[in-house]
Amino acid sequence: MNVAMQQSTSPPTAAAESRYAAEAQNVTVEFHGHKAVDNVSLGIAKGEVCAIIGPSGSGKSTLLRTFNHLQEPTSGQILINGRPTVPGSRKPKPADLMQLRRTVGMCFQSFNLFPHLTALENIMLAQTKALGRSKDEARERGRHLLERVGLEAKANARPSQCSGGQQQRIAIARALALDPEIMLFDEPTSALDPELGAEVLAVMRELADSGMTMLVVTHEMNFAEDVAEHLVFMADGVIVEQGDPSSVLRSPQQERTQKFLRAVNGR
Amino acid sequence: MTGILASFSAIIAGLGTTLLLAVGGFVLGAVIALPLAWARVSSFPALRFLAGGYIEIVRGIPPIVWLFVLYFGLTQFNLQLTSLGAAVLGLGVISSGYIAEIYRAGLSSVPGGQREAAQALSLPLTSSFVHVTAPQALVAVIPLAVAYFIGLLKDSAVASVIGAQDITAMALALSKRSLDGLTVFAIAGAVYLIISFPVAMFGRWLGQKAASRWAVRV
Repeated sequence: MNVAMQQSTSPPTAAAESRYAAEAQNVTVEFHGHKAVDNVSLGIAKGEVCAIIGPSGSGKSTLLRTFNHLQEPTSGQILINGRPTVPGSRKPKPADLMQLRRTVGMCFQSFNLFPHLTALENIMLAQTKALGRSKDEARERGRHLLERVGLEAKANARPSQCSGGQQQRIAIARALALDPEIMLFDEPTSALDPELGAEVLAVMRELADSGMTMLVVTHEMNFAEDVAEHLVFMADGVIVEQGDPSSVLRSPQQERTQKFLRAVNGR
Repeated sequence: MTGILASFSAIIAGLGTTLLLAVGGFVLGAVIALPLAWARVSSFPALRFLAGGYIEIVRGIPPIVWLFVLYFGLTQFNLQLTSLGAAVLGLGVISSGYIAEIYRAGLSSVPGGQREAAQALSLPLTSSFVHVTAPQALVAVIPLAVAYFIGLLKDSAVASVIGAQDITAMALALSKRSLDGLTVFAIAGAVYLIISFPVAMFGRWLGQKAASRWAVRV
């Protein structure tokens, strides 16, 4: 465990030299004295797809959420393109957070589409209100993104008129509308049956192929193995093991990883 | 029969005042309730405490006492409100406490994931409220607010005590003249019922329309 931790801890480097698009440095998140994430360091290279797996309560979602400060780290810091997300001060300013979240997009397990807006309006809202794009520009970009996720026919449908898989694909398009450099996915297929999950994974695969830097918390071992370049196994708030997905999944070194994978594979 | 019709037309003369009391009190309350609800869910404990205290005080004192305080009490400060003014102000203050709690219920009915999604999309706080939270909170607020308005419409009868010329005041005056209290107040009751009913229907229609339009499928 310590070996893995040390490998992932990179020395402080100048912003320009950073090889990581996103990096957590010694991040700890404490809830009422319990460390959900315990001094974790993790770097995601530009264009890399990094998958985080692990049992419930292992801190993987909490760690993911620190990357866009939906979860404030108790200690440690997040760097995006080598720059700390919170420059200098301890408490981030709203402007810092807005800037960060334009660079780091996110998709949620329960999609969180705005139910009172159509698919297209969901995708347009942040473009006009956060980026200041014109309605026409936002609409055109929205239609293009719906087409990219295969849902141009659903432009005027409300979320309640779409399947779960369609909703998640709309949510992906909504996040992409801000032209993020990094995308976070928090168990994007966990609320979906396998068939609907597959259509979401196909969109994510296409996104990965286009060179997007992605951090994905997932229970989809096939996706992790096929698409991810970097696999992280977390348990009890720490990174237990990480590396090339095939080697971690097929010949895990740590006993905790072996136990988890045995349970997942039903053996 | 002509007696009933005459009574009805005498009582209906107070309808305008009753509507003014209910609508005026409700609108005033709905406006005061906005900052109040905001303070109630604020992250500053002092604001939460102040708003909570205001709401408890406003709701804990009988409406008639509020009206007496405003109508008779303020004269000590050389402030003599008209009976209608005191009644609208009093009903406004009282309803602000109730409507603030209705707003709060509406806000808490919006799943936390909605605000998180707005944050993750880098939406400014005002946009997040105006375009994401408020429209969804409205679905829960509409039926509660309509029910409260109907209650207020009936409770506005209390204003007759300080001299507002509403339906109840008209009925009271008429009953003294006609000596047929049963008929007169039965007619007054019917008038309240007749105006409450379409409001309730409208509220149900509006609530269903909002809910079906904005329902979330989980």
